Amino acid sequence: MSKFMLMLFDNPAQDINLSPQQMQQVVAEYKQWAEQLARQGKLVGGDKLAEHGGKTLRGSAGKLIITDGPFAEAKEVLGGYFVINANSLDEAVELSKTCPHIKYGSSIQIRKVDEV
Amino acid sequence: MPEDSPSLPPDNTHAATDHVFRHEAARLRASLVRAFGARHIDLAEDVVQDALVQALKHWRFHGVPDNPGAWLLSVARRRAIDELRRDRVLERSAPGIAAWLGRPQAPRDAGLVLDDQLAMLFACAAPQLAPESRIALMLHLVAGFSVAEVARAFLLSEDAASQRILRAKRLLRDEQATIEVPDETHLPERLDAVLDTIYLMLNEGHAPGVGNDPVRLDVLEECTRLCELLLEHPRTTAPAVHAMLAMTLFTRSRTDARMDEAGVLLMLDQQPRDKWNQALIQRGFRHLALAASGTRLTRYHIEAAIASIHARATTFESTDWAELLSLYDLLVRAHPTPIVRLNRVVVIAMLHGPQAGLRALDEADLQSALANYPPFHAVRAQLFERADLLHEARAALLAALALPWPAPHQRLLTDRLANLEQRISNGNPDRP
Repeated sequence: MSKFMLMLFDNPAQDINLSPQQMQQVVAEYKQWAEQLARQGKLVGGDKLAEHGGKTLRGSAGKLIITDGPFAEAKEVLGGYFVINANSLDEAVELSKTCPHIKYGSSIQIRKVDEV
Repeated sequence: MPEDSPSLPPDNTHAATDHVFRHEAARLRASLVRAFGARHIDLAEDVVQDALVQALKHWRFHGVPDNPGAWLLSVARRRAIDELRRDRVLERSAPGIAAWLGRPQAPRDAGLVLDDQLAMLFACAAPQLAPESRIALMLHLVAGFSVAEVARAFLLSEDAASQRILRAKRLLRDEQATIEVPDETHLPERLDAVLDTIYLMLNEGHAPGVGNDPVRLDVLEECTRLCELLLEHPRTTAPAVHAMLAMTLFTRSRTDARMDEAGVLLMLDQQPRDKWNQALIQRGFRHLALAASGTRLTRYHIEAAIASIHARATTFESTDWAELLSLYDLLVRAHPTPIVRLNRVVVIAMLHGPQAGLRALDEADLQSALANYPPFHAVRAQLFERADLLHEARAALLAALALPWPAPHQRLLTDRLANLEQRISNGNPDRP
């Protein structure tokens, strides 16, 4: 069993026009998905990332350059992540296919946590 | 009627879907609009929307917290602090914001939350607003419906609904409407305006032919909730509110029986009465009993009593038409609108036959008032048909079909017309 990180990208403009009722629906679908994974022992965890105040550190010609961002106003921002257990990348993809983020977010990036 | 006796069925009358987002948004909005003042209604709404979007983003990962209201409130407070920092002028023009921020945050005072919502309810029924603006605003600001949901409830375009809400809000803002429960001298009159608005909302929610559209059912549910809000507060609880709630509950009890599986609309005489929700009916009777106090007999009392006669009849045939007629006589005196008079004609026809109905229809002289009211022609057609005046019935049906109807009704009438024409060609071919 390996760990996989699902990185959930958002399109910040997308959520603005949902009605409270639709928001309720969206939250319920994520919860259902996460609970189903948890029941199978496949959910390790997940969290939302803060939208503001991120920093980017970069070394350039021996100097450290720190810049603000990425900004929440970008077209695609990393909004949060789930970590799941799966036997293979294929299984991780299968499990992610039913994640409501496909419908409501902008994309999911799946990366295997590397174990030597 | 016994009060909450243990033999009553379990209260499964609340909706299956909970409306955490909608209702918490409504509570928060009421608190903010009241604190910020009508002048800053847009800012209050932005803060609420922002808090909701934050909630959406967090709760996706962790589910809805135990106290969603407190969660939203703390996000809204942070946002309000940011706004004050950003805009120094705001602090002077809206001293209420700083005062609101100074309120102790937790535990939330349930009484205060109720006050805020009632204040909002009265603001939405402000005398300067047109009736249709009042309902739109009430659904949006107090019930927490989005603009799109308001549009769906009224069969309006989103643009039209949004314009209606914007204009109403602008009026409240420009006139710096007070957002408070009115004082004792104005309360009765303003409470009537609130009830009138809830009544219109009930009619919209129950409009024929929209079937079991969840948004419409939600409108009916909101009518119940708004009445319950009024009943919770000692100043706004009144017999007329119990009457309105009783009427709402009786109306809601029939929603599951209004259409057959094929989506065909069923009239009162065709509805499977075992599908009427008995729990709602029982609650209706409890509130009807509570309405019977005080000295004012409002039209809501009479209409609730009328609805209760139908609710009580186990079959259409066993309906107490005589009792209904005496109630309609009362109602016509209290509230002599053409539609009330038309409904009275229907009852006369049930009690004394179609000829008597047709005579009453002539006497009521409704032709000019209701020429564009589709059910007027449908009622005439039915009376003619029952009196075996098939050609007159056909003419009336054609007049009815010339007016716009919701699709399920249209189908029903088209079927009736075909049936009628069949009878005409079988029975009486020589008549012109």
